[in-house]
Amino acid sequence: MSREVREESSALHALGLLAGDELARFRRECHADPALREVSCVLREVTAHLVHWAPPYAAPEALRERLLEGIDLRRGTAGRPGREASGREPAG
Amino acid sequence: MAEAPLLLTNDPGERDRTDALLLGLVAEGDREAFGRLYDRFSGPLYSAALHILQDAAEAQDIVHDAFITLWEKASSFERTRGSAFSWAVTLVRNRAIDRIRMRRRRAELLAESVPEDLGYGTDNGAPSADDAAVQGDNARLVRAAIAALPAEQRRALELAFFGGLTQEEIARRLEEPLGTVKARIRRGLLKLREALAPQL
Repeated sequence: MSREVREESSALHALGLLAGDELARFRRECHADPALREVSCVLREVTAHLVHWAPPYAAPEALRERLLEGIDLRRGTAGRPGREASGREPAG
Repeated sequence: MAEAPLLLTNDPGERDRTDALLLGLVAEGDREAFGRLYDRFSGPLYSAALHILQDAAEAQDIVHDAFITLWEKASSFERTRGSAFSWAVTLVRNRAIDRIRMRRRRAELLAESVPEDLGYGTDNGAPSADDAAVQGDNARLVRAAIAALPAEQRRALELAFFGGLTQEEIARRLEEPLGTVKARIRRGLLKLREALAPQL
């Protein structure tokens, strides 16, 4: 796989533009190709920074309170995080 | 909670280490660490969700769900696969994009639901959310890097990141061949990688 192809497929993947067979192929190739994994990882980080492109707004304070209340409820019923989670969403 | 060091720093490596440290504490059930992580991430995440969805209530729901996922699955985070921030962005963005695609399928309002312009050419009067100096500096650097991109690369990235369009939909929207769109996206992200290298 050429550098250009690696970069293009990684860029499309980072932006969520791969689907179906293309996505499955990319994942297979990523598993087998450390250079592709590296490019993919870097471009995912670059893509994450695009959130700063949006006009900046503060999240409402009520959202923070709602979240912490939800966490307190979960701590009360499950203790440490993840004990009531039914499945894992890939991280990173 | 163990004290997380250097919460306010311009060193991207230190920033990512602090985020990862906080996420590790969250995995142990540390409520205060969760609050601190929220304070570090919520501004840009909420802003992005709001920009994608154009609906404050939906944006709040998305950010709420993403942070609950962070809480529930913090122990599955692998730093070797990326930063905590990029994981959080992925959680929020995927949910927001899923929601607008569902909305479009329902209402068949594809053309109307994509923001035409992000408005950085003019003062859009958006209230600033970032009172954290570091986050603000980072945001300014990113915006400057994006502003330096050729307009056609910027537009392709904008439609992909905030519009939730597929490759084919972007090509149709821009009236360009699919290969051209893919190349613009690739070149745009590579230029941003170069410009943001000190931040990565």
